[in-house]
Amino acid sequence: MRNRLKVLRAERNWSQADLADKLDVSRQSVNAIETGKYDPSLPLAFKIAAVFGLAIEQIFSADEAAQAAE
Amino acid sequence: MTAILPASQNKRRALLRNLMIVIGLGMAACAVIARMTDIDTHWPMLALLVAFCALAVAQFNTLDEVAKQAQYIAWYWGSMLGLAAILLIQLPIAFAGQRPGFMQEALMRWVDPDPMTSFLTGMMTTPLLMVIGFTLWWAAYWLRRR
Repeated sequence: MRNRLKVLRAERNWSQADLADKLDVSRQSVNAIETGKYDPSLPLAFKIAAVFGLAIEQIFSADEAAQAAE
Repeated sequence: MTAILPASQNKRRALLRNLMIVIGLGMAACAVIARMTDIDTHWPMLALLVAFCALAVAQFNTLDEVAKQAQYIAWYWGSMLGLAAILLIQLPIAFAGQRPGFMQEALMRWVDPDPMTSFLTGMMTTPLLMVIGFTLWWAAYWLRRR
């Protein structure tokens, strides 16, 4: 799964630690999600969407390979 | 208990982790005192161990989902690694009928040769190797995601 976390963070001038505080998770977890090493659960994805004030699909999207398979 | 802890999950986790470090140091101090003096530290050690376990449960509940997944994966694969290490030690005993030389030397150096100590040592070897495997796997998994 791909995500726009890094771009959205940069737009708001937030560090990974700032976002981690808002989500109440560790900075390492934000980094793992941002770099695509971990796909968040649905509740956490909703929380991320709420923090940015966006819909989930505006932040997360399926991989191109996964989309092609569909 | 939740009322006296900080509302933020991150601060709560850090507080519990720091308390666990202090208790861990206390247990290490008890072990050193027991080894270097005649003072009996069994009861303080047991009390610290119980407190450590209670904090470990509380601390696990403060982990976020990424950290929890790291724990699950590390426990599954890391402890499996520990069990495989036990197998490597067991094979020469099973086939040659005798302990490998390095084991013999380690046992002679660290363990009293009475049956109860030998039994307890054998009982602790498997979980110890599983915990070592868990720690290595967890560290590798977590460091790759930093």
